[in-house]
Amino acid sequence: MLPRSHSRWSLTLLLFACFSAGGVQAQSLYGRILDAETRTTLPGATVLILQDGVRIAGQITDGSGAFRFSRLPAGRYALESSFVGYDVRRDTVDVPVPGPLELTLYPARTMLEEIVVASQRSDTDRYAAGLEVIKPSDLARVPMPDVTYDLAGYLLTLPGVVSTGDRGGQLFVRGGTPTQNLVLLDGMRIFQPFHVVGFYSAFPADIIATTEVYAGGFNARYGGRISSVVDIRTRNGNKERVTGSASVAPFVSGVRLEVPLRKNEASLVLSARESIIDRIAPQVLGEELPFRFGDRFAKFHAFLNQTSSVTLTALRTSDTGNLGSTPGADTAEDLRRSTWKNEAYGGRYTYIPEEAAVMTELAVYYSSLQSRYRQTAQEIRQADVSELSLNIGFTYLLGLNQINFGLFGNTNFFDFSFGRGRSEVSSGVSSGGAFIEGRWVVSESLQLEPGLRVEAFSRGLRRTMAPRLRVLLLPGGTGSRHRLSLAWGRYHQQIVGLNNEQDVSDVFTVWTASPRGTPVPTALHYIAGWQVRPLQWLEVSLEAYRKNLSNLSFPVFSDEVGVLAEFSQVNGRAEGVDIKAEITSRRVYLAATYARSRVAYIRPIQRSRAIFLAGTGQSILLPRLEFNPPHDRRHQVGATVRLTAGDWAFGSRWQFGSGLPFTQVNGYYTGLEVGEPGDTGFLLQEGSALVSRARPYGGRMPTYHRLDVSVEHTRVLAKADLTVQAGVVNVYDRANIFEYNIFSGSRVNQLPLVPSLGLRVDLR
Amino acid sequence: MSTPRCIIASIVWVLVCAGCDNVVDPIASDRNGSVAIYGVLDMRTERQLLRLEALRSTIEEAPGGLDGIAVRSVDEGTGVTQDWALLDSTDRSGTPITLFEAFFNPRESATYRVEVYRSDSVLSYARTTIPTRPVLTTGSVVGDSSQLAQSIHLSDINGIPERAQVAYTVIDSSQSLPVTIPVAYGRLATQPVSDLTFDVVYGSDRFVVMAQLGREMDDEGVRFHGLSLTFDLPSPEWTNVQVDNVAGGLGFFGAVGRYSYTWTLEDEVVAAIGWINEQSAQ
Repeated sequence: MLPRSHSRWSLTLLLFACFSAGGVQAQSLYGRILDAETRTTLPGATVLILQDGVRIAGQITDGSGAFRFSRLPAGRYALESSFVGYDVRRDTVDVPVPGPLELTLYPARTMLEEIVVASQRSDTDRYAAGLEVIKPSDLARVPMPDVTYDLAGYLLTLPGVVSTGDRGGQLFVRGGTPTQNLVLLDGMRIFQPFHVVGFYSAFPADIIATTEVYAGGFNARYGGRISSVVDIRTRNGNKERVTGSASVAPFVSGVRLEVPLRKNEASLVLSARESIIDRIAPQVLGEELPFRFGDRFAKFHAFLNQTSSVTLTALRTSDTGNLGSTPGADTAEDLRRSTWKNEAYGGRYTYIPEEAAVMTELAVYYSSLQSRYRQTAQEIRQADVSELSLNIGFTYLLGLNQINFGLFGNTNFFDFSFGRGRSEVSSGVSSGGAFIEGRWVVSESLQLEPGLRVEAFSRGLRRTMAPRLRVLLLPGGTGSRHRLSLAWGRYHQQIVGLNNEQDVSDVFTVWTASPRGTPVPTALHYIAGWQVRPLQWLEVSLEAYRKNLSNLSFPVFSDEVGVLAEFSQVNGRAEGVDIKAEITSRRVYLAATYARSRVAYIRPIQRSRAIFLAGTGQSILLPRLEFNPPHDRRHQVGATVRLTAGDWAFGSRWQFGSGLPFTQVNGYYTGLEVGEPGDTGFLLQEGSALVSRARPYGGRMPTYHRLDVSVEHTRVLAKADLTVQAGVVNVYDRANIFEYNIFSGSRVNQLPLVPSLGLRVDLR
Repeated sequence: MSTPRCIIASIVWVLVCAGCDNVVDPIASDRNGSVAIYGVLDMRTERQLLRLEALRSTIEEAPGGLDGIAVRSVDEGTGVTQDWALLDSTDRSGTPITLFEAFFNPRESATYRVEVYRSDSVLSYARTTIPTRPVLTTGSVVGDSSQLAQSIHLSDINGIPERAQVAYTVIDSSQSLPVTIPVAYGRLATQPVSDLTFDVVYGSDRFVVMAQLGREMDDEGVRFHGLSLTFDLPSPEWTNVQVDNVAGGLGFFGAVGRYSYTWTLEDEVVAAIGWINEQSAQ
């Protein structure tokens, strides 16, 4: 029976009827969770089955908001549905139920006046080692110079996530480099997931349904990267009425439109964003900010029938900017200009049969990235990469336990050249494999998630076996305030992204297969986490991690100006501790984070390799070297505050990061090319300018810290919500360094104080 | 103050102190050296040259900073010291450079140290050793006509013999004074060796000599007075970039030895070449 308080909910299906005569037979219970107002599906919602107050099964809804319980004995059960930002819903169902359930949840407006988030975190699946589950409501807590919010801005508040600056879109997660991060948007791999202005993702925030960020220790379903996973699921469009939003702000303006193509069955989401900061910066700030970016997104979703659905997704992005530009400097605009374009298209078919305890998903994805970088007037580097992948996944539901099994195949194409008549390199590599992972609820206190990923490649690496294991311990059972979590896994990366990590303003990345005959990058992750909720509104978590990294490619210093780097192979270790404390109530959100980390690389004695076919061409003998790479940020402190009062909201974010390593110099001199042995004519050469470097990465940049604030007011109109936001980036105008050009002695700073005023209209 | 407050206060203090620092210091405080040295000690000439340049803080900065600098060299075997003289000099583009010169003949196998100093304080020094003279052994003569050759064995080498040449001293029948005509053999090895064997091919060298003399190949009036083998032997710094022999600075400092050998050809060999043997007439 439905509780009285929920009587307004429209349960359209026959929850209490059609009681089956076959009482002793195992039955299935399936359906989907939807937003009661927009009728969009809610992926990531929690569905629990209880009997006599005891939880006997639980699930998280899939990308279509669907769930399925099988092998339930006939009988009466309590069904509890919840999702962050929504009221919890409790129903009573008599199994068997004929057909699917359609459970609608209402956004939390009247209930849980004081505590919103804490109750949602009660589910065991919401906390696991290395995992951060981000809901759309979380994104709004981080002030941005924009009336919409953004995933990238939120990620930067996570402990253990390091950025080299606010341009270039390079995020380092717990010691891993940007090219070691796997970013999936509805399953599509996004090669460059962030815009040129680093606190913007390549896609808008208001299309995101859920985001899972694995800072390490990720499951067997993920592969091809060795550092982290950002798995983003987008929302399905409104299937009842046309809705949307539009926003105007200095950095980026955008529109989103949701159109029901067939009521309650098919919808379309369209979104477009475009930056305007490069056009208004000279007038507003009095200096150039030569960055331009934009993105286009479309998603079609349809329920084909009660048991299957189809999703088509497309994303296109474009970015251009001179990352090394100095405001006010009279530099040739086209030099050192980076441009890149993402394209990603995907289709997914999901089938949930009525009787079988298995969900099937078939998906096809295509993704590509085109990068260009103009180093000099004659030298335009270009690098293209594309990937076509086919995935088939099965989820077997065995009561509380679950087994996921998948088959996958990928084909990658690479094409790059470096101008100046250098030859173009084209190649490709294919791979295929399978993964299996399970969730085994051993007891109320112990849950195991073992996994294994097997992959074979058409070239280079023959075969990889990657075991994974995640463990969740609840000392006092499901109601425990303490949670301990462990994760361990082995990871390989056959497709590597190579860039000049010595130069933060040069984000040009060449994607290619690991060179034949050289071992591929490999990582071993160890994570141990502890979470406690001493009070209903206070949550504290602590995670220690270690990543053992092997066979990474790292540039070798060149003493010449503007010469592409040779590469060496290094091993490394990233280790640290992340601490986070969150206070969450209806009106107040406060998060404080601290991250202590250390990243160290070791380069054994070896000969350099000219992977780019564009270096000096001379393989040189490299001595053993130990150093801290340029993303080794030892200390990182963050504080995020959001206060709401009625229609007003105030947000602020302060971040502090200790200085990043860089290589100091001994000085510059005129290098002479010593010619043939015994030929002393070189002594009168004109020579070329060379740099004498000191100990690699022996110096430290100044610290980074910045305060951003925003105030917004939302006016509820008859058919729309009108939100006005005023904000300031870098309130106290800290001159945070982005790049120090050791050749010219000039420094490039990150964004100065930037005021912003934005307006957003949300159609209801 | 309680312990938690102390901790918080300490953290805030550290953050404030660290946060105020916003200066980039691109020059290493413990930098190893301040001078770039390029030079060669050359046995082939009396005039030895050394080019110096002070390291600059930025790439745009003009070379300079060598005021008061002086250079001396020390023969570490004998202890003999020699001061070098500063030259007014330019590179090939006409840009002024700092060049020092000294006049002496480096000794075989001797180790020299050049010191760059200012007011008796040595800023930088570089060390190199003149290559030791290899030992030459002649082998038997084989072949005939144009293939007539003699094997030459060189041992105790540490490097690559360069610019080898065999010089023939002959007197043309129309001349009264001997002339020396070199035949180039070039580089005798492709990588540093400790010993090697190569052939001096008298048969084919004769064509070069006769052509230089402007004589017909069947001219039997050329009188042979002797031959010599000469080659240069660069020090290991030239071929091994890992050699770090500049202290307190960087650059290149190497040496070149030049070695000559002569030996006598048998009458039959000279006759087989087609010349008249007058080696004893030298």
